[in-house]
Amino acid sequence: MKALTANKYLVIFLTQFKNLLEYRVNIALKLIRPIIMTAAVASLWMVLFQVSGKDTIAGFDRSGFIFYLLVVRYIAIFSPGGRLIADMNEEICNGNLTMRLVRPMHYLAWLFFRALPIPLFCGIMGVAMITAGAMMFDAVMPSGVRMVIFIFSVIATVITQYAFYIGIGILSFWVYEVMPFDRFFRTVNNLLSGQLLPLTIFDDGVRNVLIFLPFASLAYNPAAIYTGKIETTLAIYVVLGQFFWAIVLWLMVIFAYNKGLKKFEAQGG
Amino acid sequence: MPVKAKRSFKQIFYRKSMDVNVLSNINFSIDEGEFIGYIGPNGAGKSTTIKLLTGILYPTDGSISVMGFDPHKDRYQYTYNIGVVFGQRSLLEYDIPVRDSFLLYKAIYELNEKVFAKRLAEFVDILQLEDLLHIPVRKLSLGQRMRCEIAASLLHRPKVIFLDEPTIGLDALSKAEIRGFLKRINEQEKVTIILTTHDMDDIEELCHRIIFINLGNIIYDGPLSELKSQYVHTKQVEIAYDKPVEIPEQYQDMLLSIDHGSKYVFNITYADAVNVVPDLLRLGSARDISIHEPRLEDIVKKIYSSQTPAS
Repeated sequence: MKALTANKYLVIFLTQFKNLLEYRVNIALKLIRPIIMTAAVASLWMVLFQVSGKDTIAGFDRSGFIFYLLVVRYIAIFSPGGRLIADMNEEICNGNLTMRLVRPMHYLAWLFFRALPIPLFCGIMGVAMITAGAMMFDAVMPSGVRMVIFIFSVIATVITQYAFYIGIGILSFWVYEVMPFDRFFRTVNNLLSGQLLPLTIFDDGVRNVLIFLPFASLAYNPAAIYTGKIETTLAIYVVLGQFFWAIVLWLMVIFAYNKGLKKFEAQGG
Repeated sequence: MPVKAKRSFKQIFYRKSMDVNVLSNINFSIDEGEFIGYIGPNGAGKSTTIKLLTGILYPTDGSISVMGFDPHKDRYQYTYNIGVVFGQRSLLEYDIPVRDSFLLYKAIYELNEKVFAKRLAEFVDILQLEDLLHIPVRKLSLGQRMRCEIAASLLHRPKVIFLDEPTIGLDALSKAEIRGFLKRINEQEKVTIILTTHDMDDIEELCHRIIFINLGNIIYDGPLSELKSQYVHTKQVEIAYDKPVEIPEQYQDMLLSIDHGSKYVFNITYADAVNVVPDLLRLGSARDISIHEPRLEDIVKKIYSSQTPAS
């Protein structure tokens, strides 16, 4: 019985995975976007390198910096994106959630497994791009234990990202328009997750707090583990911290969802 | 600041809301295998009742039990036993072919291969789905989609089916096909069906019992025939004469209309019909006569108008 129950989510995942071909242009654009973003942010940092006259900033030299930006951008690609929030917002506000609730499945699990294939596919392609980037920028690839820690870190990142995105979508039970929350989240995310600037730019005290916050789990932590900016022993604690936040956030999401369901109005006939 | 301006300013930040009782005193029980027509005007609370019965909404008061389940509390297990079709919403996955949607439901309802294949073959045959299985749902016409929706919601052999306006927007042929199918599964599989619709032809053709609600209250619960006898006390008699005739004063009140100069339409009570009709036929040379009961549609309209809040 349990195996069959798990099977239904696997089929949801595979059905959506089969659908990938329908979205091949989206996927191509999603894969290219991090390169453009990296180029844009990197060019600003290169100016800073030039103006400051320093060879290293926040512990990175020029090529190390570009490689770091490439890694965070490709890790962020695992994110389900604003589309998930927009779909949830529409589904909850116009009452279409109704059609999910009349079936024997958990809505949150359905959302997760339905949204996962494209980011997962892009993310795996992204790891290939990171590897290519490592060769191009002559970066040292993590090996052995560090690679295992990195993989766990990325898994925690994916789980945390979905908790954030689905959590924002769930606000639709209380407010009609949740996209401003999405934009607010992205802004904070850009700043605190290390996507625009590595957290090494902050002094030790602030950084040691930030790396244990859930935002750092979204990009900086796996990128820093990959690029060796967090030493192995600390990396283990960092990944444990990531899983802690992933669990806490999902518990909050489940709690909010159960509360929200009681407020659900199922608009329309 | 004047009070009114202050209130308006406050409303920018704070909108007052209030709770409205959509349903009250709704009590009914349904036996296995019944085909129920759940009807009422727009806003009467039909869809709300269906949403409560399917576990989508949470009742603020009262209790609901279907097959021993509390629909909201036991939603997960309960949904294995019910089928739901909302005419204005789709159960199927938009981007993928119909067959893939069915396979998805096979997994969701945990059907084994043999049961699924047999059931699908039945539906393909009865609902003529063969040519639709490979087409993505977004490319289907409304009638085609509705046939697929009904199949998808019944693949798992539910014991109770809730249908909320399943024939809305369909042409006459598609309606007839869907009605025929519903009648068949109700009779052959003894499935309990609860149908809400504004299409009274659906009700007349399919339902044995009607629950009529308005303003959140049940105003009638019983067989269709009794609804008619309760609300209808007249028959309509149409007599076409060769030429215009003079209607005696005692029958003037019964006259509803005169069409094409010589076709007279009367509204005559059951009690008077036997005596009045022969008299009317003697008024002139009658070419044609037809006697019929008001359509359910007209009866329902009459009940709606007598039940509006203003009346």
